[in-house]
Amino acid sequence: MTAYIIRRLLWMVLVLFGVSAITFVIAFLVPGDPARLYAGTNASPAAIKIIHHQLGLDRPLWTQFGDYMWRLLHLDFGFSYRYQTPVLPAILQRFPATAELALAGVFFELIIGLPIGILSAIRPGSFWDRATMVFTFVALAAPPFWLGLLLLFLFGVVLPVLPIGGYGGGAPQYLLLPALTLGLGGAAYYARLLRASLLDILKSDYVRTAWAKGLAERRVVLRHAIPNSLTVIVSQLGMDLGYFLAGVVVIETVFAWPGIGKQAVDAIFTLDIPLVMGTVLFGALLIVTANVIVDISYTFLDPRVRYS
Amino acid sequence: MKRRFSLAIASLGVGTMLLSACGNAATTTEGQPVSGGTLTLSFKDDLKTLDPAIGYDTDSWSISRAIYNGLLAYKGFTTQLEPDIAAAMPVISPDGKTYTFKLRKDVKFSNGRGVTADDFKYSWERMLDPKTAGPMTGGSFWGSVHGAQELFDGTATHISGIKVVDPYTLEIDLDNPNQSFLNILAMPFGFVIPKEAVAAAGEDYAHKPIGTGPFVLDKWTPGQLIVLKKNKNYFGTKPYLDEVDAQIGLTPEVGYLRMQNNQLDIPQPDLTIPSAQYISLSSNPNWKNRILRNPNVDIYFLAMNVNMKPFDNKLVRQAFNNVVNKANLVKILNGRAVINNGIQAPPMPSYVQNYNPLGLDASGQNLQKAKDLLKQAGYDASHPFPAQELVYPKANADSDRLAASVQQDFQQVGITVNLKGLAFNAFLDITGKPNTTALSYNGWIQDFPDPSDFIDPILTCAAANVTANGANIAFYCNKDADKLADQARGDTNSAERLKLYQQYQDIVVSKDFPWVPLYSTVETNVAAPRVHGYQLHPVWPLVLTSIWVTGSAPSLAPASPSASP
Repeated sequence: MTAYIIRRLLWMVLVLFGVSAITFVIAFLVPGDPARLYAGTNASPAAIKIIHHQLGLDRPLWTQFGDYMWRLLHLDFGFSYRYQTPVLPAILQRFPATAELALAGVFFELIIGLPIGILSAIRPGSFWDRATMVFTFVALAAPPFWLGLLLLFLFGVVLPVLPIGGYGGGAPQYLLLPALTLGLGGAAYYARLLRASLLDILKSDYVRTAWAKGLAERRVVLRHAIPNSLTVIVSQLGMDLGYFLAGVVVIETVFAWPGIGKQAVDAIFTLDIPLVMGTVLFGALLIVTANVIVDISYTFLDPRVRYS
Repeated sequence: MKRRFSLAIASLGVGTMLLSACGNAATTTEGQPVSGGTLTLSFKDDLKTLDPAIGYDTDSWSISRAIYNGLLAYKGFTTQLEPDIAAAMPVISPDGKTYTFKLRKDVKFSNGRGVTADDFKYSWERMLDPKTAGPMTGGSFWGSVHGAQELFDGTATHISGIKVVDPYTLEIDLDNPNQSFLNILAMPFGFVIPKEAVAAAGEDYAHKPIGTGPFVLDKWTPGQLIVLKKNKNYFGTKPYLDEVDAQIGLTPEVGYLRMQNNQLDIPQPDLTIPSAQYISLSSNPNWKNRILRNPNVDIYFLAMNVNMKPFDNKLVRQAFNNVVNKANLVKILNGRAVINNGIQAPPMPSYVQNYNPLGLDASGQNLQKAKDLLKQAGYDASHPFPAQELVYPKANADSDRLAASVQQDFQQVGITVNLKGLAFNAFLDITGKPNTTALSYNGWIQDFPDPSDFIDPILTCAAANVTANGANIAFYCNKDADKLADQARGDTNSAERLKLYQQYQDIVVSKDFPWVPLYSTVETNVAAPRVHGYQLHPVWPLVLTSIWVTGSAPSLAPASPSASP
């Protein structure tokens, strides 16, 4: 197990290096001159040329990449053109808001998605099953920005019980709508995933054996079926958490939530290469870490899984 | 002093103008001003910087204007310059090349230290220093200051043309007379900052500004909130407001929703109201009379690259000038624009009312003339005009509709126009390079309200002679016209100067045809009913000193369900 973890960590370093290289090249393939966006659109070509030099953008690409990687080894992520501040503090300053939203979003995914999935699976074809499946269709199809605005209008304007966007220092009343919007789509997906997984498991031999032994439905489902269907949920949960922690652009934008997702988009539109690199690397680190944790958690959920 | 290409990037804001248009309100002034209270604003994006040497966008300027001062400022809500930190308007030498300023002796930075001429010399040299990497380095507006080029080249550490005569006397020498130099001094790049604050903040000065203005930065939480407080050391008339809270990250949808629910005072003050919100507010009897309107100092046009086929043929360019239905474009903009057949913006003195040298109809068209000209250029049924690609920046919901309207107009004269909407950075990239883009939909918004700003950066030979990042995207160059522009730039006789600029306009519009001039826009903004004295400025994106508030500050918590004032 220890050897496996070390191997995964080494792979992680390699993956992050690959992500850095690819992002760096893509950032330079995007049309546009970062120096011009840095300077302002009315800046003269002479000023832009000087800024180009000051930002080191007139050096060969491989020199810039080498320099970037060397600084990265010293945990120097560079200086953001857009925000005029070092990149790593800029990301870390916004990360708590993103983390809060991500955790709350996952909470809603689970708290809504799992009961629906379970109840649908144990009564397939029932009114409840059909009704919840319609809900999951709608929730999956609804674009988050539309759903977010709808919820804002409903709870902020029609029933003015919650604030219309903003962070409010992370207070629960500000968090509720963005987290719910984030969680609803995932909840619908989880419900369908769990329903399908449970339906399969409920037809398996060991469940039939449990029924034959005369166990109560509650015991069959909770003790025998659900634990075995959790692998698929945990796998998705890990991916979701990593993805959410890397920034949820649409939700953050609609609700004026000051997370790293919106910051990343701003960086892309303003060709803020150091911040784009930093955010992508940070996001990649979170996603890869989440993957490793999920893989390791399999060994606890399913005794048959062994890593050597 | 505003951004250009308002079709494009939203965060860079839109300009405003004093002269009222369409008979709508120009101010929310009513009742007697009261001091105290907090004004709440919102910005969609975080501010880039509050370092005046770096910021070149209206978001940054909205706040930095409240924190800093320069030698000169605009009088009230006009385009007339008046002394600010200067004790009086400068003494200008007869050759127009030397400006001598006397400074007020009662001006203090918010840190309590008095401002002297040395501070201006330091601030300007820092602002122009290539190491600062600010947009004014390398030339641009300040390039004519004697000795600036040596600083740009690295052969000098100071600018010899900026002289401290005594602690309260400053002399500036120019290489050539420039009648717009006073406007240039009034731009934020001319603001004064204290050396010790820069030294203390290091590379974080952008977030720790110290100025002389009516407000000081109290708090800046990146991505969340900017708080300004009244500056106790301010030398001018104290502002009414005690505090200004700028909430960061609110999209227009959310910002206007908040304002209508008493949770915000002014959404995105430096951007015109987006079309969707404008339609909603202007049809609401409770809000429509609260909308402020003022003409922007801007011009939108189709640029035809004079070095690329088929636009290297003057007859083709002339024909194109007869095709576009400009009235339709104004309709798409919800009437928030006026047809412009020239190259100067309506509010400026160089603008000629009802200018129409090509004899276009009320829509800005003459289709028969266009067809005749195309025939003269050698295009007919047997030699059809080649399909053209119209490149435009995709900025908002209006961008595609405006471009599509132009496309339909050209269909009427048998010309196929394919639309190519691009992200702003890509648009700038390909239109700024020579021989890359033949036809583009473009705009220009003032840096300062002087006719030279609508010629020098975007129509002269010098502006065309670049390899990248050019702003003269028609790559138009007429040396005779350049001579007129040079003459006008230094002409001290205002009336004569205006005539020269009008002659210049005639050459561009009715002889060379590098553009199809389209329209100039009208700024619209709105504030919550508790806001008074809010007025749109011809140059600045936001003026806070005239504003006072009544009633309690908007609560970010849920409000009453009222959607009316």
